[in-house]
Amino acid sequence: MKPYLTLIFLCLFFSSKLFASTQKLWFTDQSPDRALVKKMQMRHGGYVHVVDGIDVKQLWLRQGESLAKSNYVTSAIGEYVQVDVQENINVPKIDSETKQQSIRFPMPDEGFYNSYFIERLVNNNTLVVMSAKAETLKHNCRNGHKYDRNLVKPQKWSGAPLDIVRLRLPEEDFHTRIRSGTQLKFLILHYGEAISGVTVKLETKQGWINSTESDEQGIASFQVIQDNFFDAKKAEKEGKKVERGHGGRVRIRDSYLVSAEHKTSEQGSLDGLAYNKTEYTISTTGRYYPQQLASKSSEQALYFASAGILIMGIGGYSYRKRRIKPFKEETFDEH
Amino acid sequence: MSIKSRIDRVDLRHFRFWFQLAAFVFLVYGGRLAIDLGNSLPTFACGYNSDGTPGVCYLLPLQHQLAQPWSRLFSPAGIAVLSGFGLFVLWFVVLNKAWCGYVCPLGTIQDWITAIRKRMGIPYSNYSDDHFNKLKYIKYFLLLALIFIPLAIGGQFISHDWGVPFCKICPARMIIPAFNGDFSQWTIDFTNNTKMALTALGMFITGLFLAGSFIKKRFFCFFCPMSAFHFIFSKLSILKLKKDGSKCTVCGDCYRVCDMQIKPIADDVVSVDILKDDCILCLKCVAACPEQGALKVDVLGKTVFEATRGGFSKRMGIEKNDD
Repeated sequence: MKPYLTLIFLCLFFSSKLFASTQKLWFTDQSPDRALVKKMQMRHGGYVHVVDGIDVKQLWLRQGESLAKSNYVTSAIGEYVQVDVQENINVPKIDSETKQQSIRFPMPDEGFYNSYFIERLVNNNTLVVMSAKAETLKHNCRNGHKYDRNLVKPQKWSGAPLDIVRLRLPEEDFHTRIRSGTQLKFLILHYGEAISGVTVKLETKQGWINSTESDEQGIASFQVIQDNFFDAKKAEKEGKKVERGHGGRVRIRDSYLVSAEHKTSEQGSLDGLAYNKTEYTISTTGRYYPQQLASKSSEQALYFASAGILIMGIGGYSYRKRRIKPFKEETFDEH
Repeated sequence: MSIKSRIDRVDLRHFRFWFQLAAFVFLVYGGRLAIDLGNSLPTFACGYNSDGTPGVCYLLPLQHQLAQPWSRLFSPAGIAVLSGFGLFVLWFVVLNKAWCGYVCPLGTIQDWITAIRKRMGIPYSNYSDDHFNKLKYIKYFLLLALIFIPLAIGGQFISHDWGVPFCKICPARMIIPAFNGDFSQWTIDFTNNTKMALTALGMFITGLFLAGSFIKKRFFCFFCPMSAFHFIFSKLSILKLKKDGSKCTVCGDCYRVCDMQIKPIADDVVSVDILKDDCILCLKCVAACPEQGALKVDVLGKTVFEATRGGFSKRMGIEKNDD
């Protein structure tokens, strides 16, 4: 076989593998390079670079079947779009410092920034539009917390072929954490229009999977369950490597990957290749934490407070008693 | 009668009660009116009171900031720590330790508990001199701990679970949000051993606080690291408590009314700047002093309130209008 035929064969083989329906594409802010992490600073929205006093976010593309079975993408051809807090559309800078493909964009203002990567390819007469989305937060407590609550609202971009917009929880602010038991709602948009009947799948890093379809308003709901959160102590006893965050803290959190797939009978051609149907996919990630009260006890707290009251009461009483000097009559000889 | 004479004859007890009440309402509920005074207040405007607080007690951001990685803390980014500290000092310079005596919501709660005790006719307790002199160092120990523990976190010597250690044991974290109906802090966190120990200690101290304030006036202020922190910078303040020893007869009235049991306020006839580390600048000593000009409060060198015979007589109900 001639070399160029071999190359074409390999390209076709890998592209079909790459765009098989089980493959998903998403952004992550976890750097593949540990040395790079040390140069970055931790903020409420994750690690950032600080350039001339402005937070600069770096996102990497990952691809795979699931969060657990995925790799960093080293090369991807597509369109990068970034939507800032004011809903301005920008083109982020593609970073060339790492071999894994990543983008960088500044986050000067408080609020949420959306990033998209959109790849279009015709495969087996089907136009596959595969998107990755990341919603990143810029918040610094130094800027206070009496902010405009409108900033908490999700950004929308009508140019997204398929979009997953996480609807906010009641009273959500920049410090709100998604916790197990929370009803997560995602709005599915197709070029800015809500669409129903789209298959939406949510899977956690631990492997819990649930899928549903978007309703008439284009909303898909999931209740996040408390699946197997990582037991660091047990893992350490078993001699397994435990990932620790800043200060050696074991992060008690899990990630979820939510993806949507929408098929249409749109026809046309792309780069001279005709297609008679179109398949839109998008994936985005988020984090969730155990239920706040799952590891807390008010009953035990009241025992401790009661013990404090009791000890103080008895201690104070005995201290006072001890200091009372017994009456001692003094007699003077007046004569 | 001049304004100064009116001030000198003021019913300080009533004035203080209403001032404290207003400050309490402002610091516990003011945040609901979208008031934001920042994160550097030199008083227990507890940050755990989320929407309620119009500003945050400086000890919370201080511990947060000091827990940054050393590479960041000791870099230009560390300027944020200095700017927060600068704001704290600016706030503090205005009122000196009167932040404790007039503004601190936790101090006000202790005064309310004291009022309940008085109504019930239960006598209060005091420490012996020996115990007083030993226990007074606890607040400095707590101050050092709340500085060095976060620094040790930043240096990766101890786990982040030790984050904001003082807030974890401060009773304000439990008590102030409770006035907004939020009892979520009244819990023991079993996430890990460190958090469990700190939150359990916090609840235990809350119990001590509630019972202790009932027995001893301003029980917690004696151990408060914010009080120790204030004292370090008290010389910078524009508000001063001064004593003229030549006019003092060492009658001891000032000591008897002092909630903080500060003996030198009566005994020390040498010092002019009489503010001591435990002082909460409630000014009860000035109001109780019968000697003209023996104790006074200066703002930028100008006397704004001083002990007068007339003021003393009026407050004691001895004379009505004699100055």
